[in-house]
This record gives sequence, C-alpha cells and structure tokens, in this order.
Amino acid sequence: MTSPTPLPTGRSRRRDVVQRPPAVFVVLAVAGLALFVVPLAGLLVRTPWSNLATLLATDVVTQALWLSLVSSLGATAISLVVGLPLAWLLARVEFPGRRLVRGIVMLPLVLPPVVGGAALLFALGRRGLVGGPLERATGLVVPFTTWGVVIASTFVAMPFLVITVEGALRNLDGRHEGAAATLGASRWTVMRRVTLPMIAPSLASGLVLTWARAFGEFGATVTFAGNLQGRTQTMPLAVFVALDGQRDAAVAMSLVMVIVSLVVLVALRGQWWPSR
Amino acid sequence: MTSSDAHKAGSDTPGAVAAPRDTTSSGPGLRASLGVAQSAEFDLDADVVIAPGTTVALLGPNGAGKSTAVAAIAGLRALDRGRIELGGHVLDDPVADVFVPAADRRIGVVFQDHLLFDHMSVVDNVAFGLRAGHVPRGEATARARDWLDRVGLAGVEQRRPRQLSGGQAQRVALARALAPMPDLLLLDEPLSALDVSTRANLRRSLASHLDEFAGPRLVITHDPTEAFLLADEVHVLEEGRITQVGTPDDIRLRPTTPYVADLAGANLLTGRVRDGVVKVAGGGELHVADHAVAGDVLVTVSPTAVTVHRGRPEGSQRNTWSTTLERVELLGDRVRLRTRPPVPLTVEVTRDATDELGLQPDSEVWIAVKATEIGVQPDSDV
Amino acid sequence: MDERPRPDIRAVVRPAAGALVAGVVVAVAGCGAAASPDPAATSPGPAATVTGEVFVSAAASLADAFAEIEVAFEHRHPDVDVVRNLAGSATLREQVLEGAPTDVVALANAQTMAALEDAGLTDGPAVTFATNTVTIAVPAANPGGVTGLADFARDDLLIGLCIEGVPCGDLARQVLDAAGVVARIDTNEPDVRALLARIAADEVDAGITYVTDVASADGAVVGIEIPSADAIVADLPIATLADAPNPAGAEAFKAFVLGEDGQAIMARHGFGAP
Repeated sequence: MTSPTPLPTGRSRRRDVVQRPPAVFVVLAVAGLALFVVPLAGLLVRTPWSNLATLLATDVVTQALWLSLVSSLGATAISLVVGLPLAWLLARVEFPGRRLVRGIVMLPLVLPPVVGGAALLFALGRRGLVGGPLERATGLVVPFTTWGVVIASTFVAMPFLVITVEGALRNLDGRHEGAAATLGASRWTVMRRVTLPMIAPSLASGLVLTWARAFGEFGATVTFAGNLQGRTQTMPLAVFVALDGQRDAAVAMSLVMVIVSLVVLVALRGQWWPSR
Repeated sequence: MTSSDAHKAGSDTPGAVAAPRDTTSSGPGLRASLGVAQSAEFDLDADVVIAPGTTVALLGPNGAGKSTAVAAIAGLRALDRGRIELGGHVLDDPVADVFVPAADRRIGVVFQDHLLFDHMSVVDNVAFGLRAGHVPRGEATARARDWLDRVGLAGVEQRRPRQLSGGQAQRVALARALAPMPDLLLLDEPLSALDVSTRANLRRSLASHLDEFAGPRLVITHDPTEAFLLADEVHVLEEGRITQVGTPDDIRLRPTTPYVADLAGANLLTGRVRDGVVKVAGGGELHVADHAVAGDVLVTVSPTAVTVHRGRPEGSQRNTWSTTLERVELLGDRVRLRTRPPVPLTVEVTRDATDELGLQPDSEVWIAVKATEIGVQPDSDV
Repeated sequence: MDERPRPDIRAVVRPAAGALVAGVVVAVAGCGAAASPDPAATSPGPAATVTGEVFVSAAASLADAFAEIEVAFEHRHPDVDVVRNLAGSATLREQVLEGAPTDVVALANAQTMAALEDAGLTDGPAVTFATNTVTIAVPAANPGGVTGLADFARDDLLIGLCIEGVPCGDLARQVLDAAGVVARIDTNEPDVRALLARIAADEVDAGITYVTDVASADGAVVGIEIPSADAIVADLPIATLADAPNPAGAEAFKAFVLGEDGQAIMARHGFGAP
C-alpha cells in the first residue's frame, strides 16, 4: 500500500487559492513597477559616487535645495490657508456656477505647467493685468523674485489640496456635526473640534501631495519666475541647467531630489491614504 | 408583556382612549406642534406635549416621520408649520419667524448610532457639551468623569469610542447628552442598534436614568417593548400622523389601528354591537362583556386569551366555535396559530400543547374565548 | 480550482506576444527603410537622388534663418523632408553625445562643436558657415532708458542673459567683462530665444542677444550696438554626423547651407559671412 503524497493542510491551501492573484495581473503590475524602477536604476548607475560629496557641496546645490524647500513649503502653506476654505465652499455651499468654479480650480492639473507660467505672466508680469497696475502703483515686480517661485508653485499645486479636502468633506458623515450642534457647539467649534479632526487623514495626504507637486515644479517656475541662482533657481531648474555641460552635477542633484522625496513619502507610509 | 414598576397606572376605562396627561399650560415641559412638509407624498403633522418628569414614547414604523420629528425638535431642521416651545421658551415658530438653532437649544440627544467622536477619548466626548458651553477644561473633565461613573463606566475614560462595546458606547452617549444639564432629553432609537441581550440590560439602566432626569423626556422608537417599558405615555406615529395616544397598557390592550394591533400581537376586528353581541364583519358573532356599547366597534382579542380544543369544550366561556387551522408557526417555545373563518384569529399556545393536541394546518379544532377577554371600543377616527 | 486560470493566461499571452512581435518587426522595417543609404547618392549630386528625412539640429539663434533654408532646400529636393530640432547649443551637444539620431548639426559657437569633433561623432571637421555678434537688446519702448553696457550694472533695471555654457551666455559675459561691467542679473534664460521673448514682452528692461535675434523680432526689440563687440565674434560651425541616418541627405543639406542660396539666406537674416 503506497501512501499518497500528503496534501497541504486545509487552511494553507485555502489561503493560497484565495490570495493568489491572476498571473496576468502580476505580469502587468511588474511592468508598471518597472516603469518607475528602471529610470531610478539608471540614475543610480549614472551617479558619480566617487566625487558625490564635492559635487553637492557647491553653492549652486545648497542654494537650489534651500529655495526648493522654502518655496515648496510656502506653496503648501498658502494652499492650506486659501485652499481649505475654497474646498469647504465647494463641498458645502450650493452657489450658482459651482461646477464651473470647480472646473477652474482643476485647470492647473490639466494645463501644461509652462502654459500656466505664461498665464501667470499675463496676469502678474510687469505688463500684466494685475502686475501692471501693481508695478505702476508700488514699483513691485513679482517675476524674478522668490515670491514669484512660490506663486508659480502654489498655482500648480493647490488644486491637489482642494480636490482632496473637498472629497473628504463630501464623504463625511454629517451626523456627527449635527450631534455636536445639539451639544451646544457653535459653527466654529464644530469645525475646529469635529469636522477638521475627522478629515485630518485626508487633509494630511492632500498636503503631502501638494508639497510633492510644488517640490518638483519646473515649467511654470522657469517661465514665470525666471532662473537666477539663489533667488529663483530651484532644484529642478538647477538640474535642467546643469544637464547641458555638467551632467555629473545634474545627476548628483537629481539623486538628492529623489532621496528627499523618498524620505518624505516613506515617512508617511501609514497615513498616505485616508483611513476610513 | 408586563409593564415595569417604573410606570404609573394609566387611565384604563375600558373602551376609552386615554387622554394625554394634563400639564399646566404654561409650565416647563415640551409643547410641540410639528408640521413638516417632507416631500410631495409625505407630510408630518403631529402634536407632542410632555410634562417635566414624564417620559413619552413616539412609537411608529420606519418611514413614519420619527426622524423628521427628532430633527425638528433638536433644531437640526426648521418647521414648516406649527410651533415648538420648551420650558416656556419658543424654539421654533414659522409664523413669528422665530428659530433657535440647535446649538442654542438646551436639548440633550442620544442617537441610535451613539455618534460619539472617534478622535476623542471617552471622557473628552462626555465633556464636549460642557466645553462648548465654555466650562473650563478642568471642571468639565471632572464633571464628565462624574457622569461616566453614574452610568457605570468609571475606568474607560481614556479609551476611544471604537474600543467600547455597543452598550458601553450608548451609555457614554447618554452621559454626554446629560452632562450639559439640558432641559429636554431626546432619545432617538437608543437601543435599536444593540444586540438582544445588550438591549435588555441597557433598557433597565436607561429606565432608571430617565427617571432621574427631572425634565421632560422623549423616546423615539419602532420597538413596542422599548416604548412600553420606558414610557409613561405612548404616542403612535403612522405616516406622519399621531394615530393613538395612551398609556402603554392602553396601546397594548386597546389598539386602534392595525399597526398597533400587530405590534402588540392583538387581534383587531371590526363589527357592529348590540346588547353585548358583536356581529363581526366577515361573518361570525362574539359575545362581549360590555353591554353598554352599541354601534360600530373595534374588537380586540389577545392571542393568549384564546384556547384551542380538539373537542367541543365545556366551561364558562361564552364564545366557542369549531373551525380549522390555516397556519401553524413556531416562535421559539411558542406557537402562533391562525384560524379560519367565521372569526379568523391569531392564537398563541405553547409548543407542548401543540404537540399534545397534534395541531397542524387543516386540523379541526374548537376555539374558546371568554367574553371578558374581548376588548370593545367604539370605532372612531382618533 | 488551480487548473482553470492557466489556459486563460495562455489565451491572452499568445495573441499579445504576437502583436508585440509584429509591431517590432514593422517598426524595424520602417526604420530600416528610412535609414538605408541610397547607394547612388554617395556625393552631393543632382537633386533627384536625395530622398527621405534629413534631421537637422540647429541652435536656437538659427530658428528663422533655417526655417527659410528648410523651405528652399525642400523646394530644391522635393522628395526630402527636413526635420528641424531647435534648442540651445549645449542641449544639442548633449543630445548628440547621448546618441540621438541626427544628420546635421549647426551650432552657435565653435567650442560647443569641438566637443562633438573630439568625440569623433562628426564626419570630418566642422565648417564655419556664418558669424554672429552680440548686441544689447531692449524692448521697443526702451522703458529703462538703456544706452549702453554700463546700464547693466543698475539695480533698478530688470536684466536678463542667457545661461552660462550656452554660446550666447558666454559671449555676453565676455563682452561685459571686457567692458568692466558687473551686471545685476535677474534671470538666466536657458536659450537665446527665451531671452528674446522676455525682452519682446517687456518683462525685462535689457538683455544681450545676437544681432540676428533682434532682427527677427519684427520691431518688438531694439538693438543697441556694443562698440567692443566687434572684436568678440562667434563662428557658427556646421557638421554632418558620422552615423547619420541619411548621409546623402546630410551632405546635401550642408552643401546647400554653404552654397550660394544658403549663404544669401543667412545674410538676409543678419548673419555675417564666414
């Protein structure tokens, strides 16, 4: 009497069958992942590891990194201050033309950043719609300043915050706010102690997305704010300029951007997506 | 179903629909005349008066307008018609253009899903209403702890709501509603979301907490047991209208609508009575004890008041007839039988009896009902 | 339960793989057809033998001149399609160094071309086909009241140059150094056309571009001559590439640029003779 090959225990076999995805999915997923991983690998291979430190210890790099961090954080802050009320209005208030307003807010997501930069020039440039009178009245010119970088970054990045927060507010179970009202909370108190804490995860991920977009912004910045080391030359601009002639430096700076971004994104691994 | 000891005896003149408990017309308490146009098909038009120290239950099926009533009284929506007055203060009066928003009404609400704030600890939840009323943090926390103790939950202060069981959460919700010392306590289906055993446990403690609350209390529910055990007075709400008002016993023993009759499980028939004999619509006759009533009547018979026999029964009962069984349904240890005309009745017997008598559909049986067990009331629009 | 998925995958993968292979074959065949050199056209001979696509990478300052040259060349050789790739000279250099397929390269200064020559990527040494000088460029209305290089040191003006490493930028800095002016720069544009656009739009008060750029701006930009600039002249080199996809076409184009018609067009656009 031969003993049959022992089957896997019932539990593990069942788990196997339920959790194994279709092979096609795995193939496609790996292809998708390759799209991200291969360029990164190319970057790492091209990195001049031997003199990385010298390449990075230059004024160009430190000033560009500083500008990138300052402008991206500034853009995020402004997006929060202005974008949160905007998202609130879009989610909670029925006003005429709401759909149009939402479309306009989404526009920077769809527009090529360079087009956005050009539009900013037409509005805030020296001869622009608003920039013109501004210059004549106060002598203030916005392009070619660090503020110009912040504005350009805010323009392209704020829609992320508005969309995320609006979505979160819409999905909120409004009954908790009703309960808070019956307990005597004023509208501000309800917002401060109930609504905002309840959308906090979505708000956080919205802020991260906004920051990430602002950090990597190039087209609108170079078109609107110009390119000057120490004043408007953010990391992406510095990399672009360095690509022609100082390729090693360009690669080194690209590596820095990748590392900074990875650190931020990985640090938020649990809170990346809003939890229910 | 038995009334709990917490109830006071209601007026139970046989045949009469109990009048709402009289209140001093300008004293504290809730006087609400609710008129809300919900939609083209549905409209709420109901009056509710609750004296301080009284619990009123608003009992009705889903879709009857209970949630609308809650929202209107709590201030989460405005009336289209009518008036709400609490403790002498007008909260809502469309004609006079008065509307006090929810935050300014002193109403404590306990919701069906407790609606505790997940991002705060239990004690912060309970203290929320106090803090919203500008009570300093230290004092608010102390009073919150005190309330948690009173509802039997000392020790869970620092937990998050999602770490509590359903019953515990509902108790926290009660403490949260009571902590700011409201003028009215409003409970919206407080036990519906709980499982059967938790519900039974919580019902008892809820009844005692309600008793301790000095102001008026309103319990909204679709569960008649909840209504009967918690309330002094029951208002039945069907399709936006109050169809019956009375003590729990009134509702249970003398239902005036099929819905209520079904709730209490009673048989409800119509007929015409003269000299103590009711000619039941659909054929059949019933002898009743009350000889004073005449004309169109509603007849109620409790399923447990009917006996079933295999042969013609002897005895004092005035009503016996033979018929066959249409249905035999098992309900745990009880059996509900449905008899065929002349007087179709729902009858409740024990399982043992069913087995002994060998009762099954189409069994020939003799039915017996004592005249004193038959409730008769004039048939009128209530 | 384990058996069922496998036949499905095969059913999906086979046709997909087939389509992929077919696609690759078609692409390769297409490339091959375009790239195969015409044995009859080994030297710039009569017009009829030059066909196919000629990929020309030209510096930004050559935009308008080469547009006209493209039209004229295609008129001469009707079976040819010239594809122009315009960018800063440094960008073009990097593209070629990284192996981008190009037939002809025309840059704005000799040093940039030297990198390609040294790497052995050109088919023989490059040839100078034109010269260019730089000039101060201001918006037509000259709002800053600029009169000369000295104004570039003013803080109240918005000054733009090309980035260093680009011929226009290097030349500008040479000229400023020679004049002893420390410029208060507000922006370094990636290529001279971008700088020109800013000046034309009145977003900066002054910049240094090529003479030819001012000419191309149709009056939106006014040039102010730099006296010392005569000594600092850029030689514009042109070269065909060793691994050009269309060597016959490349040679023909280069010959055209260096020939009578090409030179006339260059002169018309303000370039100096080689």
